[in-house]
Amino acid sequence: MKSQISRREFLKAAATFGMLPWINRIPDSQTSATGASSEQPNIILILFDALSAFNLSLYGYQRETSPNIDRFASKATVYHNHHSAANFTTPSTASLFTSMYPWDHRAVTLTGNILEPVLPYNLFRLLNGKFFQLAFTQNVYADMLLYQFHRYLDQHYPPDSFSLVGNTIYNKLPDEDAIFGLKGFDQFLFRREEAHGSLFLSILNDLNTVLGLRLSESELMELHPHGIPRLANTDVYFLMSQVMDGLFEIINNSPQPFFSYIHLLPPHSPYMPTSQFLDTFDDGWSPQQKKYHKLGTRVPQAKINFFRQRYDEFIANLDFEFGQLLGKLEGQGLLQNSYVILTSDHGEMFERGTHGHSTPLVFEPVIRIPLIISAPGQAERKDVYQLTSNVDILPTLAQFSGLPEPEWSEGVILPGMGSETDIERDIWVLEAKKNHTRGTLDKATIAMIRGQNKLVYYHGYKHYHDKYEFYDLRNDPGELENLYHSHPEAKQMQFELDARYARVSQPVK
Amino acid sequence: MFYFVPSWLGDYKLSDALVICAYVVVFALLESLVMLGIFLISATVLPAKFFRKEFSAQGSVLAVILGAGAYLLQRKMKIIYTLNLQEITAYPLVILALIFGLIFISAFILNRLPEFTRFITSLADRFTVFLYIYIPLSLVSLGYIFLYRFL
Repeated sequence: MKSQISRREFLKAAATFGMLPWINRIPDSQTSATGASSEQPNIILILFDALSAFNLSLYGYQRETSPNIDRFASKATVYHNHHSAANFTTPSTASLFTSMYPWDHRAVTLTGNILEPVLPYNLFRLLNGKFFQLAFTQNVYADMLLYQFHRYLDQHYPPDSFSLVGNTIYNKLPDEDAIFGLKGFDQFLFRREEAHGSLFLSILNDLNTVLGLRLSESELMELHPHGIPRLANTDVYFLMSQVMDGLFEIINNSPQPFFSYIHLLPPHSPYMPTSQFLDTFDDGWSPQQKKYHKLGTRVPQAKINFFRQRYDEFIANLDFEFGQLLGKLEGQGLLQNSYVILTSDHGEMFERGTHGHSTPLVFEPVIRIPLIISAPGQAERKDVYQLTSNVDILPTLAQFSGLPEPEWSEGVILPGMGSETDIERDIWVLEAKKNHTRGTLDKATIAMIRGQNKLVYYHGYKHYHDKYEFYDLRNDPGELENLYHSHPEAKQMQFELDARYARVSQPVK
Repeated sequence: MFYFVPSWLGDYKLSDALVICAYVVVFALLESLVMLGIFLISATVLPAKFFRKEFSAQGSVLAVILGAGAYLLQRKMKIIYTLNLQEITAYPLVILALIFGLIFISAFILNRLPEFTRFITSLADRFTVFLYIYIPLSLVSLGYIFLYRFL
């Protein structure tokens, strides 16, 4: 027998089904200050300045430098082949913000800024409106880049936040003038240790800072026998534990969903671990010594080993504090509804007679950086060995935010986060700090990495101009043997690199 | 500062570089006014024969000596970071005592050598010509900063 539905019942059903799309659009009662749905996970992006992947036990390092990061990684995706786009903070951080290589944003010098035409293409503008955006960096050069995006930031904490003693002056000026203030005040009138532009008042400022420091040191001598950590290029001294406490407070009190960009200075030099970690790696271990590079320095190996030891101890100290922070975030349930991304802006070299990252060299220790991403509720570790770059961070964050991948991005969504990368994809690294921002890139080091192959081109260096080096990273991870003249892939890659360099090294307006 | 000018011009537009210079010039004006204020207060507080009587000459001499001393100290700025707690509290007091000592010594000398005092005063008069450059430059810098921000 055929069932019969009355006209009234049919009309009721039709009305009910027709309402369904509208019911889904009724806003959630717990919308955030931004108006975005609270179902959107938070994003916590943490950078440790000058942290090389090579010095983390997570990536197989000889020394146990990162037990807490290892624990964090046990429920995260670990990227084993992640690279920065440059070997120092300014261009690398600018590449992360814009998802463009340094020749496009042209923040290639230490105090360089992103070109004005490029400014609209940035991470903070992309996420504007979806998140409460807060930013904090202890690196003044990265802070200059943040000032270029300050209109998109809901909260911008200055580098001297959570510090023990000392202050920066530029951030006391109006936002629009902060960049000029850094140059005029902090780096000239009150320049640290060297002759100041200010004859009298700067001396008073220094006396005041040192007085505060000595008063603190008398209480903290036991904790930091070799001195209290200081923000590079400033007179600001800090305790890592205090900074982490401060970070927890600002993250915990931020309206959700939030996007936080946290850029901490450790383990950037000066390496100042606490007494708990001092000399813990005085084990006599010395890595394989590599021959000096023509463009490197000639620091004796014993001294480099000492710097490496202090650096590793500083990492272990940082790792401990990071563990404390993670514990607090976990206790508040923030890890359950947040993406937590741990990475760095560049690495640090302790080989070939060269220490640090102020170098024209782009060997793996100074450009291969950690990247660990913990997704909300992730319970198992995943490992990714595909080649990735920090220009991939922005499109990945867009993915996390439910936004389309920006067309102008030179990166791709990271593997394991909703997309797969082409194994033949090229990534690039540029070091060009001795050039004018808008001029021709006359003196530069450019690296092209394709799969396991790495081609490096040195241009414009006295006694090392127009030189190529080719390394097979899989069979020669220490980059000991230059295969430029023998490897079958070298010439093809050189052809492509030359073409790219000829195009991108031209002056820009 | 000027050592870095070439790289500045590579990193900044000319207008940006001018804003930086303007801030520096305005701060220099502020610092000069602070030092002048200290001299004026000292001259007001101390008996006339110690400062007020030959204010122009004595102020000029003190400005030169203190400026030279500050410049020499600037070349050894790293020393400040090696001072311990006792030294860092004592040194400013020592410097203050030296300054007062200088005031009294210069007053003593200038009051007893009128020709020398006249010479210093005439030199100071000549140097005031630089004020015709310095003050307008400072005011222009001040105006430029405000204009730059509001334009």
